[in-house]
Amino acid sequence: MMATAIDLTFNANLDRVDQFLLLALLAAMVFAGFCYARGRAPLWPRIFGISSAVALLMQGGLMMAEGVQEGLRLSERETPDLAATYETWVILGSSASLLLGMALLGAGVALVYLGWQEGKKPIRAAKKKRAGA
Amino acid sequence: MDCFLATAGSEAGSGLARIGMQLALLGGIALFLGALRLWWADRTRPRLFLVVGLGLFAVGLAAQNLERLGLFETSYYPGWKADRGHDAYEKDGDVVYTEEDMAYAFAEPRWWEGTMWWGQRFARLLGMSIAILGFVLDGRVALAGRRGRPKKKKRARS
Repeated sequence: MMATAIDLTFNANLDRVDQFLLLALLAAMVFAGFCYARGRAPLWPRIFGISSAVALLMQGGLMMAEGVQEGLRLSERETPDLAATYETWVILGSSASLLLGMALLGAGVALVYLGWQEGKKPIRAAKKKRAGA
Repeated sequence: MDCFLATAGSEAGSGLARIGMQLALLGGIALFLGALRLWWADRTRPRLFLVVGLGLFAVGLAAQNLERLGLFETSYYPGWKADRGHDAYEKDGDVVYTEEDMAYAFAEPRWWEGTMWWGQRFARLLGMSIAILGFVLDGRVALAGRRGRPKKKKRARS
């Protein structure tokens, strides 16, 4: 029985769904950052949008690299036919993971400040006044 | 966020990936706290979705990354019971195992490992789905709020 290049076990498929959902979440965060920052000058919505976009790019790159590696399994090669050693690919992948983590943290911090700025606006107080009047 | 490339034994690579995992763990918690603060400022349904979704996502991500960082080890995986009866020495008769290899026995998962395995995946998948909905709806509310602003009336020309 020939071994297939693509791992189609339950665990592998579940991991793929996980990765795709994360990609979709990051895309939704980029959309939300665009909506929060549209037409305004505040800093934190833009930082949130930019961090989410960086995280989206890194996650997309890592997923593509994983796909390439699965495709290379059948050809018994470890790396694509490019002028880069295996260690270079390892460092690139790890750097992408690091950037992804940093971007997620940046987006999280920006969302905290965004919430703090929203809290400074008297939305709830205005609603209470209207309800009482 | 599994960095497949950092499994080749490169110390610098695995170090960078570990830092990335730690930062991602903190990022998940920060996203949840940010969503909580947003919801506290204006208690709308999309923001409630954000709080619930990002909370579940943070819990699932924390469990996954703490395991990958080595804080705890698990041996559970779906189908482990079927593999328990598998005797590698009998099936792979051409392979010569050392005495040290034969001394290892199959370690049965502890009682909480199955819950941890399924729980973290369920939390991540459900949390991400709800958070996606929350971000899209809240973004649309933010856009609609800007479009709904009354335009300034221009002065009438005499």
